[in-house]
Amino acid sequence: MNTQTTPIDRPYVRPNVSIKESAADVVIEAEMPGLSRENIGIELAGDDLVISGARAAAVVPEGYTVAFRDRPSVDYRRSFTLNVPVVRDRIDAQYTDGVLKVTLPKSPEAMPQKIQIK
Amino acid sequence: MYMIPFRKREGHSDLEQIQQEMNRLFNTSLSRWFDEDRGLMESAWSPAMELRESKDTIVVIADLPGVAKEDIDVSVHGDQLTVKGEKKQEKEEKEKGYVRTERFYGSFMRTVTLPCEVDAARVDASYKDGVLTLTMPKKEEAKPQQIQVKVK
Repeated sequence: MNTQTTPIDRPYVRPNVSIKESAADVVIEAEMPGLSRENIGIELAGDDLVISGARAAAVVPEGYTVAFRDRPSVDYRRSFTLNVPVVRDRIDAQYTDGVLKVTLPKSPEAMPQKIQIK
Repeated sequence: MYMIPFRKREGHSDLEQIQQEMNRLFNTSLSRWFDEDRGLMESAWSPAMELRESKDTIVVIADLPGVAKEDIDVSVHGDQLTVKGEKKQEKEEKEKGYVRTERFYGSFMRTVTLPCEVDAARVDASYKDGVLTLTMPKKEEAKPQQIQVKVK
């Protein structure tokens, strides 16, 4: 998966997401159907996470006209600000059936610590 | 059933796209916000689609992110195309704490009226990465026919 995100000056739509948080990680699922893996970008700079997907140019084949379209034909892009530190090297990303699932494991210091009572 | 006006114009302005998206959103059932029991035929969400047409073929592309291939049902009756099915949520997902969710789950259905009748037996359907593509050959009688004008 490419980690370079698409440039911000191109037109884009924000994909629908679900965000779940557990004690161990934060999981973001973004609906971005119809992408090829090399066009998916995930970038983490400090606390700012950007996910994007570049749609192959919506070229209408020779001889065809578009009768109607309500599915987006532009790129996907969405940014998030994380409120916990995460372990960058263990960020996992899967793309299944058009959904990009990014799992961000929390840094140990962000996880609840068990305190021993002597 | 949602009837979509048939437009042959090439190139859609941003305003048109927004209007079409609004039309689709308003047709999406609002019952999920009002906690009503959803009827068997009522769907919580409606997939975004695109319809392209050539002289011989109609192509419909539908966005179905997160839907497994076996949960999609496509049927054609004359010039009516219905795409329906269910988007399932992983059981373990339901138990984790959601910070935010904008994703729709559950059953979906959308019926569109095609520009003309298609040959249901020769429809090709493929599904990849959340996108369903249906390639439907037009019925012979529906294709533009050259009519000879005899000059007397």
